[in-house]
Amino acid sequence: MLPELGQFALILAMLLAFLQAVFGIAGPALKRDRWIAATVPAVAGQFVMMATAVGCLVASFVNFDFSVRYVAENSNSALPLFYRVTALWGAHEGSMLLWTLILACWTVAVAFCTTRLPKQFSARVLGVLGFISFGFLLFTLITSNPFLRLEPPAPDGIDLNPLLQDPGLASHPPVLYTGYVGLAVAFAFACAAMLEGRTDPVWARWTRPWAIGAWAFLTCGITLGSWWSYYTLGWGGYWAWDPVENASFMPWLVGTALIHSLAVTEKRGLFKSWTLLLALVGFSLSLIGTFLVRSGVLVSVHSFAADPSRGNAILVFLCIAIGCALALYAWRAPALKSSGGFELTSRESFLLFNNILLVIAAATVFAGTIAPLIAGAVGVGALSVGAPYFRPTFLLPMLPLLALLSIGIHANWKRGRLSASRRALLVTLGLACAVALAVVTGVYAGRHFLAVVGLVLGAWIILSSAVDPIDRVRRKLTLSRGVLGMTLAHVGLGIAVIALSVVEPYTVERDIALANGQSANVGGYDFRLIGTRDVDGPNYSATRAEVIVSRNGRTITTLYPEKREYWVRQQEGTKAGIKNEYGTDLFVALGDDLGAGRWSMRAQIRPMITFLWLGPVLMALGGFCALTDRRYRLGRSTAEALEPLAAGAKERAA
Amino acid sequence: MTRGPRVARARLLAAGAGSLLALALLCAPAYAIDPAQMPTPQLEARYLTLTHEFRCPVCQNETLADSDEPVAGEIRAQIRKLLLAGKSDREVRDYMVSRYTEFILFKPEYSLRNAWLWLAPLVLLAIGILVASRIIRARSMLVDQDGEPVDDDLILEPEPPPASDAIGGSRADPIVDPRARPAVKSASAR
Amino acid sequence: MSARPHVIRFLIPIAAFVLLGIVFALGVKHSPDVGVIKSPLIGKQAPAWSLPVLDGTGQTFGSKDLRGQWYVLNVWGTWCEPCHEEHPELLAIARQASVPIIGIDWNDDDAEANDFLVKQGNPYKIVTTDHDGHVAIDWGVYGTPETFLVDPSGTVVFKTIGPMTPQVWQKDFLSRLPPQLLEHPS
Repeated sequence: MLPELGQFALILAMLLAFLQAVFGIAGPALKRDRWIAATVPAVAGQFVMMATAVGCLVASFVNFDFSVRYVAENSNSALPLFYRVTALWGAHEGSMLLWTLILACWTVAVAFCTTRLPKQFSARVLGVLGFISFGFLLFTLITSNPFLRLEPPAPDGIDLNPLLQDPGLASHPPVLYTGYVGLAVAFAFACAAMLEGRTDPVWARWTRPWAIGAWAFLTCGITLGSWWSYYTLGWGGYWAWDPVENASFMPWLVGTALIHSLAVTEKRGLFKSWTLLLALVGFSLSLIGTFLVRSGVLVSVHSFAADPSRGNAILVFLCIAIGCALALYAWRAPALKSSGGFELTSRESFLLFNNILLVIAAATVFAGTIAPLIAGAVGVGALSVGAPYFRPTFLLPMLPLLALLSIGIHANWKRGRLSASRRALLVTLGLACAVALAVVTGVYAGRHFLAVVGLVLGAWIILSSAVDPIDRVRRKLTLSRGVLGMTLAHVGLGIAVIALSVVEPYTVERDIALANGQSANVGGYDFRLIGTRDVDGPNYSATRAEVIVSRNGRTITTLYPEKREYWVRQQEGTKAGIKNEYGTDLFVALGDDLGAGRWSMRAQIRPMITFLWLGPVLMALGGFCALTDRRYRLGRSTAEALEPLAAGAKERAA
Repeated sequence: MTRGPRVARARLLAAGAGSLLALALLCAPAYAIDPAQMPTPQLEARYLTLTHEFRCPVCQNETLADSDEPVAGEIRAQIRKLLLAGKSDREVRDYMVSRYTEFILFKPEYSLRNAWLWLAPLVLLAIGILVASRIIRARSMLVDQDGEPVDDDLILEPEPPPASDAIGGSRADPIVDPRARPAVKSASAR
Repeated sequence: MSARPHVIRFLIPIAAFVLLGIVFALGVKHSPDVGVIKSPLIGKQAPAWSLPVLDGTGQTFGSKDLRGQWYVLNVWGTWCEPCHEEHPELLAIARQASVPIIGIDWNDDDAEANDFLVKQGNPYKIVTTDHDGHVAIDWGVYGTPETFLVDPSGTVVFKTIGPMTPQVWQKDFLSRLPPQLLEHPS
């Protein structure tokens, strides 16, 4: 019964989403107070129904209900409980369900946090979110229903893909989707502002915390994914420029541009139409990413089962949602004008550079990602685009961006007055150069030009963004959460840049073949194979090797890489042995039995890789920290302050 | 359509499970660990660069170096053979393209056909510089006309004090938390 | 700034999106073919090859022996499930058409391959073995089964990837063969 209940709840959720869309969008337009008032209950109802549907599917997984097709395809009687729950998002149908549940969560959050905003405005925001939710639920029900039954029921399931049986999978998709879907809120705020014909930049203030929150989640999600594919061999390392990775990276780049341009719009009332456009494009890229990943139009390691009917369905929804939003933009944006001025060295200019460069980076990634599609559409034959294209072309806008960042954070609004910070800039740059030279000549052998550039830029960003907060703390002045968050995020970026500049050129990676007792030297470390033995897991059997890593005769650690054979799918999985030593990863993965007791193995020494995760985590923390800034808190006094203003007047008129 | 032994095995399994379940991931990524070494470091470096620039023709978007497919292993062996025979990188690339088309190249050729792709970042950058310079020129003429300065404090980004609540539009902003004010004052007193 | 270009500027995003939509729609249309490599050999001279014959006599067989005649080249292996699937169809073709089917047994165990052919029947005029796959790679093979049609001048006329079916044979192979080869020789 549970699957039927779940499906019923899903249908109800879709209907409620439809009502939410109609009430929210048509209510303010037709000035129907009751409709406006009905949006919030529709949101609550939709959330309850979504939670019920997801709960039913989880229950089917937990109870081994192999009469449900999706459960039979993605679990097995030997699958541990933890993975039976996370198997919910192990394939297309369930992950769509997760997507819509997360959208419902965001919608509820919006409904409860915007009670102090003008009623029409928040109703419109909820209406737009309802429309998106309706589209996705309709798509899920028609093309990807996870509650379909099997007749007759399968005797047992064919198991969750072994690669997904990992703690990384438990966290990566939900966090990533939270970021993806969170961009829908900024999208909805922008649409609501346009529907209302607002020409003031107030909506930027309202949108900012949501955009920052979504961005922070997206940052976490991408980092988790990167970390997961790094230690789970088979996904091309921590970043392979795969279409699916790009699909999450493009919204991140645009989202980063958005949170910066929102600052300008909020502060100076400038870039209004540009900020609106970024808010629309950010979420549009999320939608396009969903399309690219799930329609089978591109070849990807992470691709879901390809299905043209799904592709067409998402495409139709995509065209309606993005098309309407951009049409609205073409209609409303020309009315947005601002008369504010700024100089070349002002903060506005630097944020303008930031936006342009980030958008260029996103556009470049986009061009490379869809190039095979374009080649196919034009009919000029097959084309593949991979890391060798993305690496250099991505650096082109990124290097100037990183260089300008360090200067830009010292610029004042409107008139810049950089001369006041010249000394700080020069000193930090000098220090950064010294650090870079010391690292390149002293710590790591081999001088790579890009490594030096990256180290200088990264170190400069960290030092430069720390100058003012430190100065402020020394003078016992207050440091707002917003500024603290910004500083954290920039320092995080600097750390990530430094880590990348070291990891890329100085990683030593070699495939070796060892017999018991033999050792090989990789990057100055000795890897000695002690032996292998068979171990059994809950649903797999594995060969576990014992590898002692030593340096100059001093034993550092013993690693136990495993090669697993998952019983049900008879698929192989690897579990690498990793030891972190001062941020450097010593990494061994077990390959094949070469016969005569010899095993192939991959050994890696990855310096500073830990900082590659730490940097983005700091960035996300910075985002969360900025969220808690008091000016985003809409207290009672704020609501009172609202009353006499235009918004309040509208309310009275309605 | 199925290709390669791994896929074949997956098919067998799905059939063996007694249902018509289609596997979500037909071609499961598995990592190739290939301890074959080239005799000289130079050849090894060229071999690694080349195998990372080719994609495995069977598997989903994996490089030839990473793919565990038997075909990939055979193609790697063939590339080693060609390199050992003294073939240049160009010749190896041509060998692959003439058999597997440009689909096999993760690094698109610098050809007229792909010119738009390689030039896209440069063109975008040029457009970006042009747009930025036009905006800044236009805006810097307005600096003296729009009256009052925006508060200088770059670090605190405080609520604009009423006096400096400029034409920029901040005045329309009703969401001002009055509790934030004292902090602002001390900051702008700097 | 005149009003007109000002408005047009805001139409750029939607115009770009319309173009993108068209590309995506075409992409969905072509999506079943994503990842299928069209053989660049079609219309070109087949690569020269020579391989040991499976019968274990140590003889070799290759392109030299096939000059001047039409032939079908089938790359297969006993480890390949779709090859088992297409086997009955190959047997049927061998019975009906007078064009020889040449097999390349790829990356396989000779004993197993012989065993398979004895049990399931042998549609091949000659089966050769390609243990390290170098000939298969020369032919641009990346999956099995793959079946080529080669004309008397040694030009590759057609290639199909995946199991041979009566439809494919009728539509893509028979239609390309000269009529005199269609009847059974006997």
